[in-house]
Amino acid sequence: MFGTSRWKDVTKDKRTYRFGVALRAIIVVSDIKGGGSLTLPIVAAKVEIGDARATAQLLVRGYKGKLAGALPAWQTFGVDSYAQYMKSVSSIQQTILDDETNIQPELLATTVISSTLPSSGVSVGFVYGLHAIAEGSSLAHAVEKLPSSDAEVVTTVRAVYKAHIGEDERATPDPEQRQEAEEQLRGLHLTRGWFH
Amino acid sequence: MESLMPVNFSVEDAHAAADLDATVESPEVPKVEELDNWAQEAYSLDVSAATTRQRPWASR
Repeated sequence: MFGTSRWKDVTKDKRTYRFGVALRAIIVVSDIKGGGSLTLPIVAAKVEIGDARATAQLLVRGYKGKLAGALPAWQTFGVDSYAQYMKSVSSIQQTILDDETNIQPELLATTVISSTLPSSGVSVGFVYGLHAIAEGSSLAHAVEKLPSSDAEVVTTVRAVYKAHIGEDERATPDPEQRQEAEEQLRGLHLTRGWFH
Repeated sequence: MESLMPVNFSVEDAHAAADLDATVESPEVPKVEELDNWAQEAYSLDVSAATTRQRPWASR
């Protein structure tokens, strides 16, 4: 992802609202072969030789002028298209940031939403814990395999086990408990075999 | 300090999403000339991080 923005933060009743104009470009890459850093030129080169697939999303907020003629002609994300795409994005960026008469500041970000979300530690711990139960792992084994020592993650995993399995760290989930955890994951699945 | 969550909707929608009371007043939107902060961001990703989970939250 890359982007540019021009903004001002406004605080009211202890909540912060970021208003402004912004351009965001998001490149989604899939089916990557090989290793290394995924910079955009490398993605373009990999697409060119068939070692990756890429799609792009361009988002402009807070600008009411016309941009249709400046939008990139999207075909594939090969090396030539990449150069053309970046040129178009740069042109749009200059237009929306310089053309003050057509800037109409919009909400770009806020703490109103973030204050209602659980922390990442709790979220990761909850999903990991449910997945470990669904896979039939005991709490002791799940904690041992946990790829993070973050206290909040560990505490959440323990809380999930306590709620679903009970106090015994060595107890393995029965089929019903595994099924229940599976259902709570609503089809989400960690593809790496963490518990084997 | 609380982190700012990027959004693609209005102040009213943000208030509704956060279950705030309908009487909560919206802030005054700044004028263009008041937009005095600029930023440019770019992120890259390592293939090993991108492929570890392959289909991050895919259905079975």
